Amino acid sequence: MSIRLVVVDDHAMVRSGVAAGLPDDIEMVGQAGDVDSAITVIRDVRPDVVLLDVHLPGGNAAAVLTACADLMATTRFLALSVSDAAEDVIAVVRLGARGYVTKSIDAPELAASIRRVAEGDAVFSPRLAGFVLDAFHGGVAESDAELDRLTNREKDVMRLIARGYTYREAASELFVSVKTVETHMSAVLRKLQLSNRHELARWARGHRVV
Amino acid sequence: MSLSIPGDLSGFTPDLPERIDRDTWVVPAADDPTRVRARREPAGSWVAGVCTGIAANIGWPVAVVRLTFLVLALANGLGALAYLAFWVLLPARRDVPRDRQGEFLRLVAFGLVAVGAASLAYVWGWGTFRTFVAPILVLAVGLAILWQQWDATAWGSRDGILRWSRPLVGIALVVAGVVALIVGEVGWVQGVRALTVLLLFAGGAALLALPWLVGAFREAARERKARIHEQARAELAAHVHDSVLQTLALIQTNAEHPDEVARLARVEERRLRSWLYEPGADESESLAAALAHQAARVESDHAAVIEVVVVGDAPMDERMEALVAAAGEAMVNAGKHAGPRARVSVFAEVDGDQARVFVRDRGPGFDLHRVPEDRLGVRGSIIGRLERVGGRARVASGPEGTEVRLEAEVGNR
Repeated sequence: MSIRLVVVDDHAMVRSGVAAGLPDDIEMVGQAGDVDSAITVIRDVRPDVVLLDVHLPGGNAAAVLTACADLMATTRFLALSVSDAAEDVIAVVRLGARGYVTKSIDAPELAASIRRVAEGDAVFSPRLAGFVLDAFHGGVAESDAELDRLTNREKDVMRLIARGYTYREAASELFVSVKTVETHMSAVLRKLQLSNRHELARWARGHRVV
Repeated sequence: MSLSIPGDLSGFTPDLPERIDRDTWVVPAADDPTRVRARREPAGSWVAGVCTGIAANIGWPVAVVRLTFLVLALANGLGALAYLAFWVLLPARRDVPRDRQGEFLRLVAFGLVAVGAASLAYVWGWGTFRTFVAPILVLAVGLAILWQQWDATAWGSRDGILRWSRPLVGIALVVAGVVALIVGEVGWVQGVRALTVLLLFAGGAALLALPWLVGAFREAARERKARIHEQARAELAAHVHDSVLQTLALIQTNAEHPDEVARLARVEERRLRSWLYEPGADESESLAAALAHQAARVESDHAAVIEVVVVGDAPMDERMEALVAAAGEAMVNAGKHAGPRARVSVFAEVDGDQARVFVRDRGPGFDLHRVPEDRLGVRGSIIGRLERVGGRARVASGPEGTEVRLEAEVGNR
């Protein structure tokens, strides 16, 4: 069964570009150019994956994610952005996006990311991995909670992703299976979404994402 | 006794501030580099840096300058007036960091002044002290506090509760000093009458001046805001003109060469991003900024797409420079061998006292052992360069690409 995809981006060229590069197993079932139509389309077609531009007219990706919070169990969101700014990325991830890719990504890589998100796994760009390492860096003085720390293995995986390794390459470098790498990635994503670490909380507060 | 301001006035030019806004005083560059302009020196000063600044300007020992001011002040008060005048007229040096020790010395100095005042009280007798010297001292301390508030370089000026409590304390001391002076001079009954008249007069004057003051304040705030807007707009316009418009023109003239267009767009994108998101990053100070600049240079010379991710940062020194140069060489190799528009991942991490940089490409790999000894690329400029500063470099190459791993020790911070 093919993956049903909705693309939300205010540039028609980006939407048609994504559509043109999709392989057979991913089907574009809807598209939208602003927040309101995005919410309508997503609620109507209930796609497996939404490719969501971070900057949208009428309220940004955060508004879409908030309005669709009840669909998270069946519809997965993958954020798409031109911006390197950590605050943009962290805000959408904290609101439930399963990952983040930049617009310079090529078609096969994008397809692989969509498949991964559809299966419930996390997708990290090297930059997001770098940011995670930064945010979870050092000893945790304020809290010992498991959510506020990365395990050594999770750090190793993050480092390899930041070095530009694919999941498969990271798995063979660490002598583990791809599935294990995916499990680590999901655990890190969960921590990124739920941790109350100071740095993360600060990003979230700055963007009224609690 | 004839009085003169100490020193040779011919070489003594206080450079007046160009703008009224005191938080943003700028010391203009001297037109004549051989002539040092007088400035207040907050570093090593006792009160406001006037004596330190003058001493540095005319080449006298600072103690002599201080003594001159003190003698003049005790003789007939002119020293104190001159000091205040210099405080207002001389701009402060802002390029030197404040030192804690100096601030401690100032406290000691103020303590000594208090001891001196107490001794005077003893010599002149308690009566004079109570009715005349003590009120004036209180008044002077209050004024000093208010004046330090006005001067942003003065000690103890920081945000928070001090910022708001200090003017209140200053005003309270001035009022107390005035009241004590009047009461001490004419007694309570007359004093209360005199104070009432004074208050009525001051209140009336304040009421008359209030609308004008509020208007002037609003006008100043509005002008300041407009000026900030105008500066921001001018900066943006200059940036767009210098970089974005130039690149767009180049892209139009290169429309037949897709590789060149892609390269131009990529270089401009990186420039714009760093301008938007990393203002003020200095490549001579920060490892992260130096790597980003290095990547930008390689990108504009070769048709590679380099993504730089840095975790942590370190100050630049000899070792970090070797690390950045070696990483740059690795990026150039990746750009050359991995083909046009090759994607190169650069990851740097500063962990404790180790800095590691990984440069990875996905081009056809090569075997280091088959690189001839005399080819200096990898051996000399990457491995040798790092080994000379005690670092390490390894090259891992295979069918899925090449990764250069660089490591160097971070200096003491």
